[in-house]
Amino acid sequence: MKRKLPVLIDQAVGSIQAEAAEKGVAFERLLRTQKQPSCRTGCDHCCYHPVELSLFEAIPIYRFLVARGRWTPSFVKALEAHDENVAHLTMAIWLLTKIPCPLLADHKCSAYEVRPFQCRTTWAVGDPHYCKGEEFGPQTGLLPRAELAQTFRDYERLFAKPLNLTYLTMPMSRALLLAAKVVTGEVSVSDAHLVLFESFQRNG
Amino acid sequence: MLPCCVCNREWPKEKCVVLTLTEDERAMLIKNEGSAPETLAYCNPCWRVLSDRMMGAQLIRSTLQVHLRQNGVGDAEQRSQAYFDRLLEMTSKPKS
Repeated sequence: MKRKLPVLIDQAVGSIQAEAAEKGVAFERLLRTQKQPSCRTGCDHCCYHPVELSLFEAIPIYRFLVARGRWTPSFVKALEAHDENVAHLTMAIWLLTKIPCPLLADHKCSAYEVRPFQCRTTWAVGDPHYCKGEEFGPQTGLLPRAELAQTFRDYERLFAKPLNLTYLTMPMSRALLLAAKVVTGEVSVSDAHLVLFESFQRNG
Repeated sequence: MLPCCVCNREWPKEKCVVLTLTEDERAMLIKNEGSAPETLAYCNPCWRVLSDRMMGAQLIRSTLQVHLRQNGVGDAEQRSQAYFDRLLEMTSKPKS
């Protein structure tokens, strides 16, 4: 029988998910009072940007995909390939290689409702053409600034410390593969960082 | 430790792919840049990208586009796209 996630971890995941949604909506509201976002449905330029997230954020995404029947063997295979491709790449090389997010399907996010905080708070406020990795430059109008992401990471760290967890962020594919192992009990949450270090060494 | 010629990071030699340049390649580099190394080191992560037909071509396309734009070439996107198409053509399997 599959073990459940420890209650305290589950609570932390819930709180962080709520914080991400709340802060994301608040940021969007504030943004719309000041600027006109140019993001449109079907535009996926930012889905080729490097995204890193914590296990806390990956667990709800994993559960969402399982609940929707999207966690299939072929999807796991695609995640493994993505993980292998982006492991140890610098952000610049990743951006220029235009490796799509593994959740991108038909120009849309297949887990939009539970997307990571970074995705919730990324908005184009200029010509979306300049959101393309190879077009990054002075004309790129992308929000937010790094401070907002840092505030959220600090919030996540607040939960990690009392739970004795090593707080780490990692690429989407690796985070989802690890979340699957943790939720199904294959790996304990406290050992997750060890599995992560091992996989990093293996890919290096 | 060897510097990766793509990402510039230092990597242990055993985690790199080291290629020896041919005489033609060296001659071309000397002509364009004045000097040429005997070998080029690629770290494993960058090599994984470059040795993939599509991802490698994509990285070269983007890098070329950035380079052309920085040098004031107006149709950088079209030129880099044309080069990308040519790279794919060059690396496609011969028709039987």
